[in-house]
Amino acid sequence: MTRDAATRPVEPADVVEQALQLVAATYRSPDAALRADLDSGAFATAVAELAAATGVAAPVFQVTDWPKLQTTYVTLFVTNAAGVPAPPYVGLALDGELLGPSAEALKRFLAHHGVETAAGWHDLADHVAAVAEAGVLLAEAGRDDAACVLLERFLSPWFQRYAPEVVAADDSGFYGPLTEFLGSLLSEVSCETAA
Amino acid sequence: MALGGSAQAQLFPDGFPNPFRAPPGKWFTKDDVTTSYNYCEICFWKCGIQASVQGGKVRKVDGYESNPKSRGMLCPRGQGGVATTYDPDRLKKPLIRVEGSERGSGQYREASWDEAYDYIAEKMNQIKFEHGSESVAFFGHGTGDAWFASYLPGAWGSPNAAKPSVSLCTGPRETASQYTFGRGISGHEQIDWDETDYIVLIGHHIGEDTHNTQLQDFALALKRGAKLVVVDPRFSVAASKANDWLPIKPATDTALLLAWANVLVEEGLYDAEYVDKYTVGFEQLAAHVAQYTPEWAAEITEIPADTIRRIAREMAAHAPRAVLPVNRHTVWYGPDDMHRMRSLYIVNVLLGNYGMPGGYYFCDAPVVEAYPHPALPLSPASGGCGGGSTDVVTDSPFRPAADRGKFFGTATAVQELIEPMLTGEPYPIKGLFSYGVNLFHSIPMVERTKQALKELDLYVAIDILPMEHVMWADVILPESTYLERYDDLLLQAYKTPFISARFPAHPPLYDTRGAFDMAKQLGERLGLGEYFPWENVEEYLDRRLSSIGSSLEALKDQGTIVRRGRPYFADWERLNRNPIGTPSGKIEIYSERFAEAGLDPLPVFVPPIEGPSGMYRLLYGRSPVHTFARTHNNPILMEAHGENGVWISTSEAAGLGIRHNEYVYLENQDGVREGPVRAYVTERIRNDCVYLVHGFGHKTPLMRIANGRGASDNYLQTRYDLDPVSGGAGLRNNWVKLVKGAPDPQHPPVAWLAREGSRA
Repeated sequence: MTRDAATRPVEPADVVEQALQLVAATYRSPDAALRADLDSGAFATAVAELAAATGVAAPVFQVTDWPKLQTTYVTLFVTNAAGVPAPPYVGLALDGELLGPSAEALKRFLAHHGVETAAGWHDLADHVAAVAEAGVLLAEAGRDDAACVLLERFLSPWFQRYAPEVVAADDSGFYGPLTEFLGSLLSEVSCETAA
Repeated sequence: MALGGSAQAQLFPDGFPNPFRAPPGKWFTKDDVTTSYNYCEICFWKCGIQASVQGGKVRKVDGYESNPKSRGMLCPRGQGGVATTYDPDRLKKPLIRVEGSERGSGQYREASWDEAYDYIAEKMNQIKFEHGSESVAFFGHGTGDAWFASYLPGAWGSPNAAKPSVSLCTGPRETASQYTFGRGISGHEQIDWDETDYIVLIGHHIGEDTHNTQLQDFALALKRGAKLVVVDPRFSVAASKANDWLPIKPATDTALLLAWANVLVEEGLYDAEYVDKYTVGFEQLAAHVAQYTPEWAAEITEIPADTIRRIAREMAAHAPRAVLPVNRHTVWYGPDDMHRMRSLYIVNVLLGNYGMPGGYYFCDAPVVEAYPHPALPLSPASGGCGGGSTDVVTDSPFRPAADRGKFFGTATAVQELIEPMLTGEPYPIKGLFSYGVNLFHSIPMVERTKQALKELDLYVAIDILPMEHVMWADVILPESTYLERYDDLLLQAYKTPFISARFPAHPPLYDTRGAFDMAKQLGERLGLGEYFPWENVEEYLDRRLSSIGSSLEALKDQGTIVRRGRPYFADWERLNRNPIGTPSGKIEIYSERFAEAGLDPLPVFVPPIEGPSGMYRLLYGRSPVHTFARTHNNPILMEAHGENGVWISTSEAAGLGIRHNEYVYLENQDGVREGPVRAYVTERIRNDCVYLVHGFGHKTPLMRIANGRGASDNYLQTRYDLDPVSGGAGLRNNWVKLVKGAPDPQHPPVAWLAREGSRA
């Protein structure tokens, strides 16, 4: 699925959903869908729209070397001989512990709102991409308030904790600028704005 | 906005379940907790445990009463081992090294399991086509090594399957036991602690090398009043409990044992009736040991002759309830390691304790039928702690293992498979699987190993954590932890043999799999599907258990099935059976087989290799809270023991101007430097040696807690001396000097690292 290349205004009410969608797309393991969005310009357009809607400066990024992007994803978020700079788990950012109280709180929150991870998801439920996707689903189901909670209470702290690490360690020209942008974006977006 | 990609979450179609859950917090009720049986994998003792799960996370593991290897208790390693499952640095997904990147540079991309398997299978087939199936070697350590160091190589057709637990650990004791008793030690040291009254430990670090019930039994024996003698260059924890500590000169233990044999024979203190009934070769022994007087041994061992005599007499006075327990790590000094172990067994035999209460009991693994499958093309002699290795059959179409001809024994020596990777002799090894083996912290001559890895066409690492060697692999396969997976049945040789099973406490956290699944999937891609006929692991286990009238479901409720054992000769004799498996059917004090092979048929003492002047022999041992080099990224265990120190005697340290706790470097005879490491200045060690706890000195930043803490004995082992009989690598013929001027590394607190990482 791709989007129109033309930029259009983002309604304030849609900012949260679209920010979540961008977070999900950015931090999923780089796959064919991301590549298609990058190649088609849909990704860049989505970034530009959000930048325009929020007043956050749009990042300058480019992906010319797809294998490099895949390698960088591993070194930033999965396994790295020099230490994973940014483990992509919101609970770890909040608690300093995997599957700690925050991850458990997130699990209960999602269960309360009827969301669970799908069988094909082979990572922790508090992975940044999974949390963002859960937020997208909630927003699509009209639960903007719940989506906002995910964004503010769980995702933003991850960016606060790890965005500097990603920016410092990125050598792809993609994750650093995007993480910096999304970090700023999320700090600008609040549930009150969305409402 | 509409970006592509599939959402990984899904809505409940039926609305929102249970909106009235308690708020998140630390409190939960018993009803929230589920338990599952397992056996611990943090060390090889494999204690039976119950894992308690709440909120999808294992909160606690405990031993349970009905399991003979835990009896309701668990050591710190077992308790703290849970943290490994929740270590954020765990390997999470299959990774393939980026084409063209250098091995060790750590450049990887994620791959699906299918892609990883296909990649490996293609490379393996290419190696097979170019060099033969034997050119893929398999190293393994841990429960899953049955698949990767035995079964898969057997199906694939490579005899080059090896375990460091043999030639870098138990090899000499197993070879000595096989050729003396016709049976191995079998992975469990069968000491009849309950009944013994006199214990002589030779370099046996009980209390430091913690094995749960062994330590329980040892402590109970002492409490009961058993007398303890400890022979060790170092005043170990066990020595601190001893009635006598004999600070022996390193590498002279065989001389002491031969002198004890001398006293027992010369003074007529041996159990003549036992010797007559159960052994052959006593006459030759008597003639042989006549030369090994206590006075002769005193010169060599630096233990007074009177003490040697006294201890021998005391042992005899308590016989047969006097025992010299076999230890596990027996590759010490090389050339006479097997002889030392034979000497130790023979002294026990002279005391008449083998197969008798208070000595050594017999133990065999319970029999559970294998899952029916076609016979494997070959049976690799990878051995294991249990020994019992078989060699490649002589009419095999496969070339013999690449280490053949270097030593007498048949179990493949892991360290001898490195050279063929470099030289191509006797034939090239171009592919390597490393299952749970830390190549840089277990095999000596680390630089040689690194060079060898560079020469390979395929290197696959299967592990749980990104150990140093893992980041050299072409393909990294992440394994689920023992708390997340099934494994094969544990068939434990014991005084009361028993069967245990492993049940996952929760699904794997990441995209990880068990060795069982990996081996089957790879086997099928290699065209070996007929050897993996089972549907899945549950069906495999259930089928095996059905052969004893049980089932997986039954074991799920039971955890362990305990059998009756036949621990003593009397138990076997009642059934008109003989537990001794030698050709003569008797304990072979004199080995005709050794004689026929041109080897010494009776134990001989080989004088120690002396080191360079001004250097100290490097001894090493264990920590009670760590296993090998595996547990050093575990915050709980590192809180308990976070770095090693180099033990040096007070007088030597004074001569060098080294203060207690001062950081120093260690530099070995080849100029290899380790550290900074703390100097532990103590009266508890002789002047001619220093001592390190093994497993520290990790060198990968990814092991953020382990990295840079202490010194690695393995990196300092740049030479070894081969035991020509067992193939064991004698590792204690390396020497070091202490170099002042090392900076204090100012390690951050482990708890801080665990929470904040090294990135902050």
